[in-house]
Amino acid sequence: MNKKIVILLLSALFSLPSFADIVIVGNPALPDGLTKKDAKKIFLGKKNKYSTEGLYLIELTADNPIKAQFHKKVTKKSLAQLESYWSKQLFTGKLTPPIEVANANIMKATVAQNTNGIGYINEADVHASVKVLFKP
Amino acid sequence: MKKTILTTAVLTSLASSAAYANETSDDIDQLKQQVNSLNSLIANMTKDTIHVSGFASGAYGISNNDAGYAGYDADGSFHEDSLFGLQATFKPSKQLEATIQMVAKGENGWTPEVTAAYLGYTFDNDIKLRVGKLRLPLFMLSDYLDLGYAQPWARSPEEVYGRVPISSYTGLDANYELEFEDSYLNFQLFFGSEEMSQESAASGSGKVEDMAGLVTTWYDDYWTVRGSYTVGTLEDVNFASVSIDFNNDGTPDYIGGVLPDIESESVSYASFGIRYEDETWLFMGEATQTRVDGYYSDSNAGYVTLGYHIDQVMPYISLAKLETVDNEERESLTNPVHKGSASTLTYERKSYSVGARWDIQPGLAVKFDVTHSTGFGGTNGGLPVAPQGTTQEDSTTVFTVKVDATF
Repeated sequence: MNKKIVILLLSALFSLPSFADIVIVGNPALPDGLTKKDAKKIFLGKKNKYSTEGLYLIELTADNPIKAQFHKKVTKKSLAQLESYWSKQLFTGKLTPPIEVANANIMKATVAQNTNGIGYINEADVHASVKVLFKP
Repeated sequence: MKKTILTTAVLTSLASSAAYANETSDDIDQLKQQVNSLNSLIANMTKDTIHVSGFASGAYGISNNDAGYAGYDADGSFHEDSLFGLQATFKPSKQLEATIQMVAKGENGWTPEVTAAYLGYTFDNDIKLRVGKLRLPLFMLSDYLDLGYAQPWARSPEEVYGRVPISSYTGLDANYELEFEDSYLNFQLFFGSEEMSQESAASGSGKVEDMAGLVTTWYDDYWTVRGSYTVGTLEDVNFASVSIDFNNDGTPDYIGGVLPDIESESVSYASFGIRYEDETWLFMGEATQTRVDGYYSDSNAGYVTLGYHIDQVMPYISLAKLETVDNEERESLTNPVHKGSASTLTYERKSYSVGARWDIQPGLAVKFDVTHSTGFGGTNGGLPVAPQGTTQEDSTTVFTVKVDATF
């Protein structure tokens, strides 16, 4: 009896956090070895050591709740700060903001179709058409 | 910026075709084909080479008197801080880009003005060269001053940004960025010239020639430290002409400019700015100096701002200061008309602002601001009121509500 409860509690403990785990996914043609530091740079459109060839960055639209979670972890920016960052980059002619897609299915399709495509989805949505590059 | 509608449509068609599928292998093959063609459609669609975006601000401000701070008087106005900007960027290749930006401002009767129009090319060594009409990066916020959404305040500090004679120039710039472990060092070198626009015509019409400047910016995730220095030559500045009959005998005793014309004088602009922003705090400060040879005002100006994020709202306080530092240079003017006008070129003031930025959704913010300006020290405070010796205000308070959007 007690054992059952312990197992239940344990499984609850371990399964709850992973419920909303977000992973960075890329085209299967991309190399391994993405670091946390490079991930931050990539999602702010900066140069990085992971890929000098240039990546094709795909973002989610702001109404998708995992965008805010992802950026809180990876770029440490709120959605308003992120929007402010990209608008500043764009209107001063430095960088062009990434394209935005509405959900994980379109994210996967776009990543799969572009050999340098990179984006992020819930771990539960991972599919063989894309490769998990990093788990923030 | 957003291809969402099209992608959503594609997805809907994906989903609906799935709904009609029977579980026979023919149907599955057909579905697979459909998915493949839709996938390549998505892939091609998302490879965009044209990027159109914009920004807009709608503002209402009202002052407790007619001192004219930031253009506001006691009647209030929607015009002074309202604007609409559009930018189109074409990227035919990874190296080449062409951008045009236009801004229509309420204070200029909404006449659209081309604020940037340039070709950019990024070389293999990552040096980016741009040629055409470019935003003039005199001070820390200068090259995105119209982008209200990226500013914490309802209005950028008027003491520093309210008196800049030109906001764009025609010429070229080169940009290079060094990457360190956790930070970046950016260099921007520029050359060019520009006619003074309508916007700055109040202080005379003319042009700035032989402009050259260097901007150095070091930044990491939280900090930005920026220094810049620009030199140029102010040329052919003519002021409004007046005809004055001092002794009321019917014949004018003086016909000429309210101030002596400026044929050619050296100018320089220097700025040092710091910005810190994390998830909670925002700190910004900047010190600037403007130098013009001859009788025209040399000034020092600066501001410090502190903001604190509470969820979607960021209250802020700000202190700004402006003063001329070459007041004795204007004592040599002998003509009484010139002497009178030149008294408006000597000024000082301090402004205190309290406000809040409320981020309603990404890309949309509402701002409330109260700015109290005082400490004119017997001058007109650099505000467009009557010259010394006549009726004038010794302080002013402006209330502003503003909506800033980017899209």
